[in-house]
Amino acid sequence: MASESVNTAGRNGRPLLSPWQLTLAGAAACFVAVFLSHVNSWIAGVTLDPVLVPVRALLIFVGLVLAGSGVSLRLRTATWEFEERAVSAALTSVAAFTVILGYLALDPAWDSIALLFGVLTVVTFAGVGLILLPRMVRRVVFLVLVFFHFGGILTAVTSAPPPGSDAPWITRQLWTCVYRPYLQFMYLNNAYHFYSPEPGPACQLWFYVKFTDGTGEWLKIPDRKDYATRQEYQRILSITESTNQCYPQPPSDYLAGRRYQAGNLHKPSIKMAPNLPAAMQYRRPYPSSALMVQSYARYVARTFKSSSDPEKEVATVKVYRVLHQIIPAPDLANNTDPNDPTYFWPYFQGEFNADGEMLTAHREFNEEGKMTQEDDPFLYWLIPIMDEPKGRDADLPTNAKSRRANFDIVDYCQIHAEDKSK
Amino acid sequence: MRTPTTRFDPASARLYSPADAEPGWLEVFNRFWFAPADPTPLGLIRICTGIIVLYMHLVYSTGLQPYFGKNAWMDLKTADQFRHEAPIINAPFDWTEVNEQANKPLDDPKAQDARKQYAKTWDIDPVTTYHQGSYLWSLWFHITDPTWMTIVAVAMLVVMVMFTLGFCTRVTSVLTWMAAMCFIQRNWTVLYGVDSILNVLLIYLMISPCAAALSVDRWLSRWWTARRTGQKLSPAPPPAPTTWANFIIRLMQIHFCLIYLASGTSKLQGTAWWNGTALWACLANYEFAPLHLAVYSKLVVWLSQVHWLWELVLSSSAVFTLLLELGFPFLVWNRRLRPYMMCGAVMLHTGIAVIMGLGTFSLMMLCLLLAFVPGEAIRRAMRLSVDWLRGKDLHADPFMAPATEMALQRR
Repeated sequence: MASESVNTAGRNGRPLLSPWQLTLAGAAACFVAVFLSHVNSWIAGVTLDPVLVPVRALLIFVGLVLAGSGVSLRLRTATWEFEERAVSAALTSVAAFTVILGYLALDPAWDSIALLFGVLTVVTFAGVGLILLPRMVRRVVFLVLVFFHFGGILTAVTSAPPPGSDAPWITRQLWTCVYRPYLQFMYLNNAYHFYSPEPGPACQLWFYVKFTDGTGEWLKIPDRKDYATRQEYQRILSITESTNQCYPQPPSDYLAGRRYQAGNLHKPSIKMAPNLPAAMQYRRPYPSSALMVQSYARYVARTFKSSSDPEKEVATVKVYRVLHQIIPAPDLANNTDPNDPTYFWPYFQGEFNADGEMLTAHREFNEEGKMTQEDDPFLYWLIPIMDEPKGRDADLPTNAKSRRANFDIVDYCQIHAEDKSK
Repeated sequence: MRTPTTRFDPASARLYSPADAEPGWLEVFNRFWFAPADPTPLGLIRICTGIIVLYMHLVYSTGLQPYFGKNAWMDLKTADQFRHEAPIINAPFDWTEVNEQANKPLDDPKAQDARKQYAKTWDIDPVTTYHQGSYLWSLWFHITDPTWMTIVAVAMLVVMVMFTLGFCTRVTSVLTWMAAMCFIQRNWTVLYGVDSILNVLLIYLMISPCAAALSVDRWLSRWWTARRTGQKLSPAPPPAPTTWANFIIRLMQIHFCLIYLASGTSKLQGTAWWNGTALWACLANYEFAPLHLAVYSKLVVWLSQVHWLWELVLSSSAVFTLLLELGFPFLVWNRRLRPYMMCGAVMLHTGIAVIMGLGTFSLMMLCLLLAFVPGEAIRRAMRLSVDWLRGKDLHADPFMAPATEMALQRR
């Protein structure tokens, strides 16, 4: 029989250690870890955490590995008669108690590992039940688990809302109330909507780092030249893409008017892009994206070194989320550079201090829900880099060369960042 | 009367008897899930996945602090904020459901202040949320000392090497998945498609008999048996088919089909896929496509200058992608069409690797695709490769290709 041929080598070979020895050794290791977790509280005035915490962690790890090895060895070498299954189930129960001991030995601050141990305990006890079941019933249970698993995958797939609409109500209920813990715990929450519904432009992040002496430098990520492997580059590209989650609602006429007016009053002026509707020029990020931008600003403030003097202290960081528009085919056919500055659309995300606190004015509300402070008029708006005609009679561009001959690139983002280097 | 013979089906590595030519649906269902199957594909998937996992985590190791440290791109403070506070909102159960609490201040002033602070951060009243926080877990939430992070990361790499080689696989497969999850769950801003597929593969390998073939464990088991019986170690016979191997292979196959179906159907929501221009957003996307390479850049510029050819190439690529992603989940189960579907998938992912630069993601998908390759075909390919490397005479083998013979003569 198929299962016997797999087990034969094990039985003939007789393992060096018995499964019970391994599992009980694992339980003993975790028990010692539980004991050590209380030691420091019994000794007054001296903290032994720097020594005890790594030792406890190692004991828990070794204990669980030993217990798991014991169960694995038992299941590989035992047969499936009921008496043997009962012994296997008993051993697996001991392994489950080992996990509980490991949970008790954890530092209270290690809440996420406590979650993992909780799940491991449940899974191990469920394994006890599965071992005891007859073969046919066990198969049915496996199939039920498979249907539950793929039901979760389908829920994740259908929970991504279609454009301009909500996800199905049933999916939302299933995801929120039933599957969410499983999908989040196992990282199975991907909807697999690769390049859909539309492949879109990539996102960069531009940081204008101002130092305490008044100078400033740009950090623009990602730049292929900065990374030895494609994998590193792709990771940084994912960091920038993570800020690309924005509310779909367009700005009100009032907001657009404020932006227009502030642009005109700014010296020099910061125009709005003339050929784009306001809905495409305003992108308010979701709170999750805004939090990430704050974290990134903190990171840049901590790690960025001036190219002229690495000892300079960072004062503030201005952040721009930049969409690198995909060059239209007719433009590429005219030999336009895909990296032409006008294809970069920077959206101002705020100015942050070294602690990541936003210095730019942003909206505040009082108890009654009335706005007490408005957003900075440029916040979350496109600060364009655009072509402006050199003269009133500039011809329409026919190719990249004549375009540059008749138009100047005006970088309003540089003006807004107060970069006086060019 | 014809003598019934068993027939080994190369497409599914399963034994069929013509006497069972018309089984009922229950028998088919039972056979689909529980007929014994060759575990060799699982062994190969384990090795390929392990190599890619190792590469990915070696790259992580060069940037452990920027990606996962206390003051990483996504620092620990922000990660904990998401983990403990991120709002989960549910659709109302009734048409007229109203949250009465939303309009009332809380009695406790501290709780009311916390409520206002939460609303300021997350732009939503916490009273209206279904839940706050996520079920995330990672050692990197708790181990932040750079020295200890390095020690633990090195230990994880050692475990991944052991898993790849198939040593103590039952334990190292679980530990490898846990190690990968520690990286995934700590900083999800660095993740992309490859991490989802990696996780799927590791989950299935963790519960599979992937050490039953092409593993150090199997070699050790045979060596120990030979030693105890006083015999010489003979060449490894094919591993015994098992029900469990078949079960896991089926899970992988179905998951692959679901991925394609989800990807294909979601593309139908996009106008660019309908008008055939979607691939331009991949071909001319500077951050992804190799437009910095002169050869590629010249090719794309030339393509865009020949309008009809541009339309033809883009439209046919879009149609190919959609047909493959929507057709694969249904046609791959037909034995005659399976090789063509698999070739199509290889072409698609090769294109993604070249044009989008997503080589690791493509390799991961091809690892999952290996679940459709019969074990016998893998062993035959390996045998031929080893024999060719040893310079053996391959003429007796009917699958010996003339090209291979010419390569031997060149040597």
